[in-house]
Order: sequence, then structure tokens, then C-alpha cells
Amino acid sequence: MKLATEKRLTFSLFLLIPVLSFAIFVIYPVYQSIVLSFHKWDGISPTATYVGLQNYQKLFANPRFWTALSNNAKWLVFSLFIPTSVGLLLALLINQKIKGESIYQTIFFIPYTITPVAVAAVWRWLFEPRNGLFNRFLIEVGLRDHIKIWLGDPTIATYSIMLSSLWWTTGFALVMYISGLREIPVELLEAAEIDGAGFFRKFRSVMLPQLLPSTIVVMAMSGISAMRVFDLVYSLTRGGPGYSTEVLATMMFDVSFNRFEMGLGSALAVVLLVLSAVIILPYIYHTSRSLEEIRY
Amino acid sequence: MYRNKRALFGLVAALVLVMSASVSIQAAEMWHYWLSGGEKEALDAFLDKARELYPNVEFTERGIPGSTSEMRRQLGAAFMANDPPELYQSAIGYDMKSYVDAGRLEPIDDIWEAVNGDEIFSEGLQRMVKFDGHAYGIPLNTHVISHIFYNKHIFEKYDLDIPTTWDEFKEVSKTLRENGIEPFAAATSWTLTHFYAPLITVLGPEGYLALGNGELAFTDPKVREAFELYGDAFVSSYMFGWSGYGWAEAANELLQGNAAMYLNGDWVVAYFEQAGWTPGEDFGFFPAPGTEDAIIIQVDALAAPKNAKDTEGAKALMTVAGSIDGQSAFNKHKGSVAANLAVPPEIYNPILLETYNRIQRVNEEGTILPNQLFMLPPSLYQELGRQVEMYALNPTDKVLDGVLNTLENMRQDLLKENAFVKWQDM
Repeated sequence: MKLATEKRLTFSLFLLIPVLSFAIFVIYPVYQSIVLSFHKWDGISPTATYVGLQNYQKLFANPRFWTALSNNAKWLVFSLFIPTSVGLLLALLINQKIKGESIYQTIFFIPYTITPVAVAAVWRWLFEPRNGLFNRFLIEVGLRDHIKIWLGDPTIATYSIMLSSLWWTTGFALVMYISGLREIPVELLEAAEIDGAGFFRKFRSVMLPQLLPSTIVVMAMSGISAMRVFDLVYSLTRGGPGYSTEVLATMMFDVSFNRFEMGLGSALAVVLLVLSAVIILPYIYHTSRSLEEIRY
Repeated sequence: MYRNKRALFGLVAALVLVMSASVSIQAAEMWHYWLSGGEKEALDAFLDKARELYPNVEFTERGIPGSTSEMRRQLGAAFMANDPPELYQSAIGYDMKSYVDAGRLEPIDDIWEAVNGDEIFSEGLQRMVKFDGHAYGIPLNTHVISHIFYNKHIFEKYDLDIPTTWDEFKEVSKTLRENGIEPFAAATSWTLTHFYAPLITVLGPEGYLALGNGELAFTDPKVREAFELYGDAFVSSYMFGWSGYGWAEAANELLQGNAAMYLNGDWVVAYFEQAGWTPGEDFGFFPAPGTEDAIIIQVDALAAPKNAKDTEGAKALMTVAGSIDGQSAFNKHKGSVAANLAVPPEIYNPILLETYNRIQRVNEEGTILPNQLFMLPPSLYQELGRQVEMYALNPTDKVLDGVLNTLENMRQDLLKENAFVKWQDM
């Protein structure tokens, strides 16, 4: 009994610092943001003015907010399915025991290690209307009529940024799925082969179900990234041209730090927090269920 | 024994760390975002001059990557910690006034008098740094943002005269296009500076100022006319893919001979020089049509926060900032014209000398106007920039209706909040 109490005390003491740090550097600022969302503040005055729900009313009445939200929805759909699928496809290819598989894995993962501002710098050049690689290639192969203003055309700019994001983030899904594929019990695949299953049948009936934990992790991380997307969009277009590539995070940045409306920016932050929480809940539920299963 | 020695070493190391943390060098620190190229050289020259004139004062600097908004963010944190810098690089007008209204800036009337501020700075500039009768900033430099830079080789090749009217500008653009040259380089986020010339043409300097004061409705037919002139003259001359370029990439189009003209702030002069161009030989400038007797300027100033530690050091640096020596040292490298009108023009290259002469003439006979950035509430200025860009992307009547209604609704909301400043009363 005494030992159990001593153990609990030891665990509590070890947890005290991280929990305290979390409370001070995460919980408290989130609480302050929520409080600030009910105020009007320019970021430098000693006091803020209480305005109740005015910031939220202003936000929901602003067409710019709905444009940003719809762009985040596009990013969510893109992030959940495209890098995930491409990462899975690459993982299946690399997992075929091909020569130099570790080199391929490294090549595809390297972009994920690059900071987003550097990714944006590279892709800005690729997208440059006159001398960028894409348009220059189209001109050289006789497709001059098909050149695009990749970052300057409001109808395609968001998809151009998504293309750069695909290059940047697929490596994460690749690594998760390779790890997942290597954990599939060989006996299951052999049994399927004995039963006459071809590749696609094996993939659908054996691999995909076994890859569910990896898929949940990849999709959860992708979903959160989609709600938080900022660096690439801000570095490439600042949410322009017009507001065509605006997402909630770039709007929050502009409203808070260019327009000095910190209260309104905080209201945006609260909305973003709520939306992100909705996305992350299935992942938290799955993870806690897994922990319960391990415990019992 | 070994354990005792380790403990003793640890104790001594800890004491040294604590003592070094508690001993801080007192210095007048200046925050800025002049981080590279000619701007950094200008800052270094300015500080060297300050150290020469005040050898007993320690001056230091801290670069804040970003611009006014990042500076504001950092200053906000510094104010909360009650540890602001002695000086910082400041915008003028609305931005500076917001700090004054928040009670964050020290009035500098004594320094203003010492440098004879009422004489050396133009009246328009004074209105942007003096509030309620007190001076709060020392303007350092003047960038003109209403000049069109042009590739002289292209103009000579096609025997083009410098356009002085909108019709002449459209004729020049037509000739250039017919010869496969993009008439007018442009970049995303910079279209608002192009809109000012049509605005002044239609509304005059009084109308331009009325817009900044919040007295002119965006739904006024004259504002619509200004937008239509902008679309008809400038937007129709924009180079292909302009909305996919940044300002430096657009400047490269001029350098590479793909485009002939470029309207941007005269900081591009330093950019062109660094690229190997010679002012007056490879490129020149002319006033945008409609701005022959008006100049639109952008200004950097220095301001002094309250509760800084070394107020004497701040005063010394401010005094140097207002002086002929300080402004000469700074502007020679910055590629701008000194805000102090008494600075002799020998420090300028041919392009800046021409700019200096124009500023002197317009100061006497015309009107020097500040960028709307310094006059409008920040939210309206940012929105104006976005809406001008949206119109430039699709210059139709329907889009213009939406643009003008959006801006007018915002103006009405800001009027209710009493957010505008009557700059002519400053």
C-alpha cells in the first residue's frame, strides 16, 4: 500500500512540470484568446474595450470569412484524400522489394523536412508566369496557349498552392504507410495468395484493413494541417489575388497584425479552435480506445 | 574529494551566470527593419555618424524582420513587459498617432525645436508627426511612390516620347504592345499605388485628402470615374501574368527588357543599381500622368517610446536623425531623398537629384501628399488595396459596383466609430 502511494507520488511529481508548462504556455493563452475575442483591442493600448459578441457578429457577416472557410474546406478534402492516396501508392510501389528502395524512400521524404517558406520560394519560381519551369515547359513543347498564371489567376491559385503542398507533405504519408505495410503479418498475405487472391483483392481485403491505424494517423494529421494551413498560402500569395486563396489562418493574421483588430482576430482563432477540435475528436477517440485495449 | 570539486565548480559557474545576467550594458537601442542591402548600409552609416558626434553614448540596434506590422507586434510585447527600446523605426500619420493615443510615445518638442523642425520639414510632413501641438517623431527619409520608371533603351529603340497625359500614355502603351513589348510591369499587392494617379487626376489633391479624411464617399461618381480611368489606362497596359508576380520579379521584367514601364516606390532605384543599371543611362522616371504638380510620398521616421531606460541616448540619436549630417549619412546609402529639406543635394545620384529637384519645386508650387497608408484607418487601407486589386483582375462594371459598395459600407462603419482623422486640422 505504502509502495503504491510512493509510486503515485513519484509519477505525480514527474508529471508536474509538463502539466504546469502545458497550463502556462497552452491553456492560459487559449483562455486569454477567448476572453480577448469579446473585446476590441489594437495590440498596443494598455486596456481593451469589452464589446460582447460584436466581433463574432462582424465575423459571420463578412463574406471574406465565408470565402476563407470554404477554402479551408477545400484544403480539408484535398489533405484527407490526395497526399494520403499518393503516399499510399508510393508506399505500395516501394514495398515491392525493389532495388534502392531506401534511396527512393529518402528522396520522397526529403521535401517534408524542408521549411515551408523555402518550399514557397522554390515553387514561386516554378510558377513564375514568364520564366517559371511549368510555363517554360509548356511553351517549349508547343502548348503556349495553355500557359497559366498559376498564382495570379483567382480560379486556380488555390489548386496551385495545393500542388506545392502535395510535393511537400506526401513524404509523411509515405513513411507512415511503409511502416504500416511492413507490420502486416506475412501469413495473412500468404493465406490470401493460397486462396487465389490477386493483388487488388489482397489490397482491398487484407492490406487496407490492416493499414487502418496508419490511415487514421495520416488522415488526422492531414485534417489538422488543413485547418491550420498558413505558411505556404501566406508565403506564396498572402491570401490573394483578391481573397481567392484566403484561409482562416491568413485572415486571422491579416486582421490581427495588418488591421490591428486583435479582438476580431481572436474571435477567428476561437472559431478555428472549435473547427479543429471537431476534426481531431475522432482521432482522440480512436487513440484512447487503443490505449484502453492495451491496458486491459 | 572529486565530488566536492564538482560541486564547487557548479556553484562558481552558477554564480558567474547569475552575475553576468544581472550586469547589462546601458545603451540606446534602436529597433528597425532595414535589414539588408542599401538600407542596412544606410543604417550603419547613420549610427556611425551618431557615434562620431556622441562618442560617450552607446548606440545599438536590433533588426525586426517584417515591416510596420511585425514592429507593432514586437513593440506590443515590449510595452507589456515595460521594456521598450529607446527608439524605433516608425511609420507616420495614422500608425504613429495610434501609439500617441495609446499613451506609448514620448513627445519630443525639445528635440524638434533644437533641429528647427518647423523649418526643415515640409508642412504636409509636419501634420503627420505632430499631434495636438506636440511633435512625436523625426522624419528621416522620403520615398516618392508616384513616379513611373522606364527602360530608356526601349523608349529610344521605338522613338517614344515621355507621356505627360493619359492619352499620350495610352498611345505609348499601344506602340509598345504592337512591337511585342509589355507596356507596364505590375505586381500583386502593389496595384493601389497605381490607383493614386487616376484618383488625383479626377479628384485633385483636395479630393485625395478628402478620401484620407473619410469625407469622400466611395460611391461618389468621381471615385467611380477614377477607377474607370485606372482600368482604361493602367490595367489595360498591365503585362501578362502581372498578378503572379511580386514587386522584385516585376522589376526584373523591366531589367530584362520584357516590359517598358514600372510604377513603384523609388526604392527600386537601388534595386536597379544593384542589378547593374546606371541611373540616367539605362533607366529614368517621369511623373505618372496627372501628378505633374503633386507628389505622393512614403516616409520613415524615428519615434521614442515612453519608459525606455536611456532617454538621454534616445535624445542624442533623435537629434542626429534630424540633423543635416545624420540625414546625409542615411539617405546617401538608402536611395531616398532626405526628409530634411536643408540637406544639400550633392549626396544624390542623378535619379535622386531629379527627384530632389521635383520635391523642392512641388513643395513650393504644388502639393506633397502622403500615401493613403498614413491617412486611412488600417482596416480601410488594407481593404482598399484588396478591392483595387480585385478590380484590376476583372475591370468590369459589375465588379466595380461590388468594390465601391464594399468600401463605402466599411467607410460608414468607421465613421460611426469616429475612426477617421481630420489631417488638415493637425
